[in-house]
Amino acid sequence: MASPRNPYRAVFTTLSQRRPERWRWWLPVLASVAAAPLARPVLLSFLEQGAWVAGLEAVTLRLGALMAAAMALHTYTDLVRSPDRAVLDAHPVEPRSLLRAIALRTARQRSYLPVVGAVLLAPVLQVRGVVPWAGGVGVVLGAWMAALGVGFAVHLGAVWAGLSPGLAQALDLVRGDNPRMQAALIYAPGAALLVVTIAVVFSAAGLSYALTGRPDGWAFLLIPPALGGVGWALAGPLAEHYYVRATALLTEVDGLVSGVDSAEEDRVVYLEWLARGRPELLRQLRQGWRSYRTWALGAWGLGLLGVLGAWSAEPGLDGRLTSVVGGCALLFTLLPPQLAKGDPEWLDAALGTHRPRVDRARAAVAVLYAQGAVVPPLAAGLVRHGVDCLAPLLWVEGVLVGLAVVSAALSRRLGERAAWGMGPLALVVWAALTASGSPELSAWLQGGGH
Amino acid sequence: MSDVLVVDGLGRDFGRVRAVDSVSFSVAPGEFVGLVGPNGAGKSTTIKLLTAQLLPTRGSVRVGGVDVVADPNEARRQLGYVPEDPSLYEYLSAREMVAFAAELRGASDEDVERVLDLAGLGADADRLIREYSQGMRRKTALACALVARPPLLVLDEALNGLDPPSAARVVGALAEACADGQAVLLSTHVLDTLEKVADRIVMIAAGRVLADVGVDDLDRVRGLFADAPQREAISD
Repeated sequence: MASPRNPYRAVFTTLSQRRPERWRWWLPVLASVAAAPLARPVLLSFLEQGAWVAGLEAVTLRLGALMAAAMALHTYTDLVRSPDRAVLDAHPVEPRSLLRAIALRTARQRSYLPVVGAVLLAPVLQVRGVVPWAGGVGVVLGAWMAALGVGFAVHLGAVWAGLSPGLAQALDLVRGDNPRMQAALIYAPGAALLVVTIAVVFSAAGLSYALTGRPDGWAFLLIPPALGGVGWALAGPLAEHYYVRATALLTEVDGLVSGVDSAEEDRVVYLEWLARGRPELLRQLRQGWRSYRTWALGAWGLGLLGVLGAWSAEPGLDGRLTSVVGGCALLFTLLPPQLAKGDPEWLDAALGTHRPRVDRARAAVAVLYAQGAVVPPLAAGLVRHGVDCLAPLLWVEGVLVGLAVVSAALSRRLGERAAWGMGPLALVVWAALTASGSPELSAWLQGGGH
Repeated sequence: MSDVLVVDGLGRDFGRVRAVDSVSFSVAPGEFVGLVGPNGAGKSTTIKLLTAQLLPTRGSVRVGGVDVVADPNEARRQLGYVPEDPSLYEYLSAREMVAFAAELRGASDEDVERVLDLAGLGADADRLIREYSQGMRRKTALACALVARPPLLVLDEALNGLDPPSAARVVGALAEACADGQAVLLSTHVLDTLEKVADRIVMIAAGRVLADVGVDDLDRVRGLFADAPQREAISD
């Protein structure tokens, strides 16, 4: 008997055919191909050494955790915050069919992630052969599959938690300044990441066992996909009860957040004192603070990560600073496309805005926000190593400014879509920045990659 | 016949702001009710509460006998809803969008053609929605709401942005739905339109029902607009 037609899937297919965005799939894959020559010296330098299996376990674990983090966020965006919700809110839905259609779309659109992982692991194929490479890809793919199933279940579970009176007190303890119901949504991606990463620890260890002569280790690679299956089995019943209810929760959260925001309207905006006499910069700083506060605050969290690299007495300070601090700082070159998102042209026309001034302001906001990731390691480096740390960090700042200017210019033309170009570009620039700070890597490159 | 919409002591607070205080009214099958009030009166919040998009702080709403908090999906099945700013799939045509709504609600292909004609979209039904004006989008959303003949139609400022002929066509379609036994709750500022089609007017101000009167008392409602109270913060 033919299975009944899934109307959501049919509509999603029509929409994707009419709005082909395959470039969104190919761009990160092409960027990973471009960055692949750098993967061997940066990520996989252990391959020629005796302890290469332990190195491969560590790398696949990290790549798997990255897959899990990305999918935990994608499943949230695609299920809870997708534009479909606004369209479907006017209609009754069949939640399980809808969930299947959303999951298939998410899987198709985000399938570039394990492909990127496979490309980055390509040197394993070259140096150690097909079995270790296939095993590594298996760990990464398993993490992706686990996060797909677990992500949907956890986000729907978060809606239950947000609406549950019994959990109100617990959520109050962890919500900070956020509305109570939002606390559940905020922590859901972290919960999904935690659960999946635990499974990936086992599968990466299983790969290590298998490659050191214990064939039963291969079975461990099935743990993440099995976990994904369990998540998927739970997601169906949860969707039945909580997909529609999520709308009321989101209205609640958004209403309360806007209430919090409007109460803060008169308060000082982050770095506003730098914008005296610069109305465009002030406008972009205000938009950044009110819409992308997490970026400003997150930068200081990343800065603490940089402090670890700057404080270490191990050799290779320049390489650590350009790689870690540079990587964190370059993330902020993705901010101008966000600032350009939904910026109405009619407003600029009505205000007589000078467009290059807007570009400069957006680039400046990106650079200013990124300082949260640069200043703490700079301070730590100065205390620990003196002025030796200045050169690599000045180099990072220069690259940051250049890329922020490019990002702002692209954002003017492409709006938020500029992020799809800037992401891969930032990845490639970061890889080059890392190479520039590492004498071993520079030597390797000068030797033609041998 | 029992009422298709029963709103009982409905209230909603946002922090210290009482957006909807204690609203009670009902709508019978085949009845056309206008929900009116000045800006910020609580009309849109009330509509969000009726359509399960917001949880009430107190009180209850039943649509077709279904409690919207207990079973929001089933409540949606009982009503067709046109929001103030309808969201539609931009890369579908109106015909495809309405057919999608029909499939979700179990309506037929004939129903799709019927409501496309009723909404006056016939000639443009195969163009992509992204090419539509605001008025045409609103008519597409109306066609989606009408397609399965739900017992209740809820429309939030559905006449905004429509030119006079389009507004007349929409009102005509709603009147026809009422004649078929469907109930209509239309939130609007355009009192003159209600005079021609509505059976009753419910006026809200400062989150409270100020008047629930027959359309013959429309002049009294007009008078109340001038003296409508302002919303107050919740006292300690």
